[in-house]
Amino acid sequence: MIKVDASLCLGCRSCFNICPSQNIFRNETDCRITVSWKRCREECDLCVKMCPTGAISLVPWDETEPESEVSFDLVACNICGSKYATEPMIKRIESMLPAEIQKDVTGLEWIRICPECRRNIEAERLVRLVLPGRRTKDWRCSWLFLAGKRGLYPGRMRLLYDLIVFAGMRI
Amino acid sequence: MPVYIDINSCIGCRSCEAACQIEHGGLGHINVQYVEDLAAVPIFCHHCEEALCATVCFTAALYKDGEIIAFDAQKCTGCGLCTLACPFGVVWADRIAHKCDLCQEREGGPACIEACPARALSVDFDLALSRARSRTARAAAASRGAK
Repeated sequence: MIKVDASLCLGCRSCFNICPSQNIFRNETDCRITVSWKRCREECDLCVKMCPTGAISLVPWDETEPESEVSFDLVACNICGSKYATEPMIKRIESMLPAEIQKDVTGLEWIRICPECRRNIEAERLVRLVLPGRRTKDWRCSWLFLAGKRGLYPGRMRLLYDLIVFAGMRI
Repeated sequence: MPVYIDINSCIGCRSCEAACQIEHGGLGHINVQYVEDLAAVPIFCHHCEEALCATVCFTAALYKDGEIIAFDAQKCTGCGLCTLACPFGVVWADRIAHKCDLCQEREGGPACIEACPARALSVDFDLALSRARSRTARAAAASRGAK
């Protein structure tokens, strides 16, 4: 029978993925993860071997022993606020990586940012040099586009004013 | 031998994404990110010199093999630690981790390079280096001219 040390468990998907008899269940909702280990009589120790922290141990069969269950709150991304990982997993990564690369040069704690936002940041960093040139070349920023073919007659000014107000409402 | 990107030529068509998904059975490793609808850039594995995904992997399923970070699907447990350790967010996991393998089994190099219609992707390090140098030089010249 499986016994789990709740203080060591990371809430990762290792044992859930590896279990050949599907005795480990994982329930993932929007902001909470619950992992439950059912009573297991199989003669296998894959989950024990494959646990990253050694939180799982095998104990002799005992009817009175309750089934192990651990639940975690998910951590929200610092930028977009989406829930992407459990706190122990983040703590483990912070403890395994050297301290000097945990902070970006801009002071950004990238471990606390979800993978999606990390990709966005990387894309923004890569296009930083070409973006100003493209902005100035963009036809929407050109004077001709703003003024129109016949110059800034009152109706055109009114249209631009309405557009700006409309954009302000959307923001 | 990682894949290099020419940001100036990328047109954001996402052909590389499609090619990668076809090559890997629907589970692609490239993400094309758009910035302010003015620029697009494909983000994929850098095959880092000191790979953080390989550092946190406790079964050594991700390991450094010469110049690339190789992946052993037999050892992977799908715990998802590598997805959180990647600074670029390009590793993802469902039952096992999915990561750019530079199409090792494919003849004729990575599929994304062949699919790119704008030739923005290449494996040529010297070409990427000269492009980066000219881009930096142009940016420096432009900022000096503005003053």
